[in-house]
Amino acid sequence: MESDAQLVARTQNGDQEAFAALVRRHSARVHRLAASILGRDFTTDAEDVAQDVFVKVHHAIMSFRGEAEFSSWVYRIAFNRALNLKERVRFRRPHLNDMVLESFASALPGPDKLAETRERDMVLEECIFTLPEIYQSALRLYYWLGSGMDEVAELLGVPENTAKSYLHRARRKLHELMKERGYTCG
Amino acid sequence: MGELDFQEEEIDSFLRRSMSAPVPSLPPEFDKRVIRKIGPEAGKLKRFRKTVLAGYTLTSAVVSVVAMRGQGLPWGWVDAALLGALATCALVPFIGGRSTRTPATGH
Repeated sequence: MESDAQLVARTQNGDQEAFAALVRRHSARVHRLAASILGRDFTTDAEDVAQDVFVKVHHAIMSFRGEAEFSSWVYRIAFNRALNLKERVRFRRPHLNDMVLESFASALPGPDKLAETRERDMVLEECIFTLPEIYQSALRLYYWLGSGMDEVAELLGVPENTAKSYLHRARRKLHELMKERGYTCG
Repeated sequence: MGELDFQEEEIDSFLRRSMSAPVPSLPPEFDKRVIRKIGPEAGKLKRFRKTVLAGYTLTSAVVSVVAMRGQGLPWGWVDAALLGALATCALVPFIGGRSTRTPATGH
């Protein structure tokens, strides 16, 4: 299998198939990283970010000299791209108000419990949104998208121990925030 | 310390429960979509940029000649000024090296 560096060199010589191979190799991770930044309500936007990232990478690939890993370069672009988009779309974030929660409570089996769980999950999501971006991303990668610690570290461009400490601090902070709002995490 | 460990486990299992949701994935044809997006667009953009640059260079050269002659400069000075400017433009890539910075990363 060709290395990233070889595929990059071929792409720089105008080989589109080599670039397609790079896209196939890295697209799933770029998409996961974008989704981890944007959150569950914006999975379609994460797909658009992934596409934009590769278009941008293609435009900038002539200036890539291989001083860093190609993957780190791409993930960094994806991170910045997703953050920019998040700034623009955050007002589109759906908000469940009390009426919606009440309609849950009256329409489904086990209504009270379900509404309570739903409300707690919503509060959790709100608390997550108050954390620093890198903590949010680490949490979503690990708990939602099922990434291992090695992948969290690679996508965020930090050593594995740093990724672990991001998660540790994020969990502690979330515990405090949930407690402040009167929710237990048990 | 014991309480912290307990809290950590508690929030860990809570997050596993609360954050579990369908994991999104890209469509199988994603790479083809990207290639379609960059192929013709990139070519068109390159041609467009070249045309704009050539037009700009030509216009500025003509305007410069007219302005310099209008000030009564002899043709020798006008030629030297134009050739000097063109030579500087041609030398810039060699002096500064190839640009390696991308807006996102600086690699």
